[in-house]
Amino acid sequence: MKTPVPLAWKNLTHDRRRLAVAVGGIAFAVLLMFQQRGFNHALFDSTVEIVRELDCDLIMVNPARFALTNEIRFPGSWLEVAGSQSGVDSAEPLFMENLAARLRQDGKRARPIRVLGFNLDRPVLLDSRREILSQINELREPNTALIDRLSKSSYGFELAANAEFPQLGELNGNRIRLIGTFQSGRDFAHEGNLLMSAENFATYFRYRGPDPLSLVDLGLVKVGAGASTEQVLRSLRATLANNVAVMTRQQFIDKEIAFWARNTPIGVIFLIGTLMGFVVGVIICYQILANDIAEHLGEFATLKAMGYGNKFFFALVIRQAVYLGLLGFIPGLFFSWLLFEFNAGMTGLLMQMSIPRVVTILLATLSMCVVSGLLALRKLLAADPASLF
Amino acid sequence: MRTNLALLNILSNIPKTVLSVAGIGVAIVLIFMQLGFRGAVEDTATNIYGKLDFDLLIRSPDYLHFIDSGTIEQRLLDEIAGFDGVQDVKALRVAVVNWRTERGEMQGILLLGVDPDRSPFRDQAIDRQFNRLNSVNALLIDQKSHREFGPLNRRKFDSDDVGRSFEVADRPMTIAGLFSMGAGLAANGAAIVSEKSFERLVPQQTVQQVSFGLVQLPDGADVEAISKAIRGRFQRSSTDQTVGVLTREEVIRLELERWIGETPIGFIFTLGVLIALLVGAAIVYMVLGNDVAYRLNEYATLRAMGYSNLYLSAVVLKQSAYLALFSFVPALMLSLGLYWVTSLLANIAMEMNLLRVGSVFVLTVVMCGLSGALALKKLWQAAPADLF
Repeated sequence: MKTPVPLAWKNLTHDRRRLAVAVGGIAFAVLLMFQQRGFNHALFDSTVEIVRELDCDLIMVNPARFALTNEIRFPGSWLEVAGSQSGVDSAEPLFMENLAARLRQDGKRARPIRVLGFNLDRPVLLDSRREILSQINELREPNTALIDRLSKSSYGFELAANAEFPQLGELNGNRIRLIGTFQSGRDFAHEGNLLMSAENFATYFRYRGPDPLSLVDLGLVKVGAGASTEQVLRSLRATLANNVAVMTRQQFIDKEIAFWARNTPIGVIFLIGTLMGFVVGVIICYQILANDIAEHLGEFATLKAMGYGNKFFFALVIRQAVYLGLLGFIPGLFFSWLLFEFNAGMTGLLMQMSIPRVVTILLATLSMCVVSGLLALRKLLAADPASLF
Repeated sequence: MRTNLALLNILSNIPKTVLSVAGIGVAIVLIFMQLGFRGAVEDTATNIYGKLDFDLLIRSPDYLHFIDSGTIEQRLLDEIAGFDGVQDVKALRVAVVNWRTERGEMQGILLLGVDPDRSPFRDQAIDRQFNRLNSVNALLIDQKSHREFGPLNRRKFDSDDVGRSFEVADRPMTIAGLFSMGAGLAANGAAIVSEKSFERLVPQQTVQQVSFGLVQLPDGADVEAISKAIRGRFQRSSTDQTVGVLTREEVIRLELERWIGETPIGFIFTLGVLIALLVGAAIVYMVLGNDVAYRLNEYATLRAMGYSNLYLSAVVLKQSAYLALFSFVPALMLSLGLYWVTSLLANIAMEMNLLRVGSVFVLTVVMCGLSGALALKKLWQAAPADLF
């Protein structure tokens, strides 16, 4: 049986002030869930951001390197082997240093920074902003580097958009001229990034051996036009055998995230946080719906006496719950977005809000409201028309 | 009137009160959890220093954290050992090396190189294992190492694992004994070896380079004065130190600054506490606001009967205090349960302490009081005349 008026909507909106409180409460729960999921994703996303930015189809790595932070390298000669395989367009080295790299600005403490070195003629980063490409000629000068503008402010460099370059510092005791910025991001293990030519990289990290570039951290393979990535992967694996591991970029990312997920409590901690946000939402939403039902009990009993069945009330309350969920979700999403921006600014972590993540929280919000709706419904179904009069 | 109106208000509708208590309780649990996570990080970050026996710690000025400590020269320690009032200086060598499980997976393990005759640990249970370190291929494994390191029972290393061999830094090493420590935040497992095997496993660190010097002072020594004397000796200029000389308190404080202040961890959980407080306040406000609205007639009647605003305010505030109290106890119980579950699931040490219980209780009362005060606004509007 249908009523000619949208009863669920009217029930919700007839008291604007109460509606505002209700929507605020739901928005809070939404915010809480976004926040927890957001940090969870951020901690994982940030550690693989650098991998996402690599311009390659396949990645070569020492099989013993269980995580990017575990600085085990492989001989660069394998790159030549890989480069000569059919279907391979290029195999370029990426040099990385973290534990042995210390950046210092005058008067400040030296701090560790991740340094990336690459062959300037074969840029290895996607560089979607064309920042690296536009500064590549200056990077040919000795003692130059680009600094990640998301690097921690405690290094002491001026990294705002209007900052002037070059800025001078010391890397491992040697002068360095920062000629500009690029953008990557920080994570748990890295407070900032420098990007420089392989030649410059070699001068700062002589400890790596007589030829500091003989060992490479990652090999970045591009598959030639028309060749199948799958096939090249298979033939590279056969050729390189146990000497070097080869995987697609996505496999590399998955392996890296799996390492952090297995070895840190990040997943559990934020899962618990998210569940608590959900519970808070259920309680808030239940309060609102139950109050509303209690207040209109007389009217509902009248409707019951008029012959409206349980099905009608069921649909009514669920509809009301869904409206509440949607109404609360919108401001919740907005404030979460603001909070994400704030978090990203404070921590340098990547706080990303992708469509699938937003949809996940929306579904959680709706189910949160429906659960409370079902709980509140019991009261209504118990309303006895006879007791009214 | 001697009737306890606040209490009766709360008890008049038990199911409703249960719901309110549940709402506030969830907010309290939220606060406990965020503080618990933060506390677990703090405990984990400083745990290893708690196990080491020192009054003053000597370390490199390049020190960043325990596994990225830089090195100092052994001869500095020999020199410090000659200082007036210094009882003993022991060396500790630290490195992270690769540990290969039987399935061929690699893990980074924290390796501690010690002189078995001069233990750097406070815990004598660890020292008692040292006689098992006489072979260069022997190591003691930390039972708190992550299960990814490959214990037989897939959970944690125990006596069944003694005698098993693992490849450590590309060399075969045998588990000769167990100890219990916890490796901290930067590594997931730890092992102790003798200085001799440390040199073989970490050849890039020469015999003369140590990670830490642990200075023991006699009981009742003036720690400050001696640390000042040592600092003065090694000071090159007003800002430049050749070594860091730190008391136990300084070590702990700096370590917390590093992990809580300089990584996103501190920010994440502090923000978590703030949001939990806001959620709690919102829930209490909703509960009390609704309750006041519901009883507006009764309050208006009381006012008409001559009860003062002050009295009625006291009733609402008392109600919020009761709610705080009733919510706190079950929330504390639930939090203890969740701490236990989280410790089990996440392999972190979530421990409750009295300070935390006390401060969350105060926060709860303040939160409820403030929301109660906000709900009072509605009460002022209860004009007796409107009622009839």
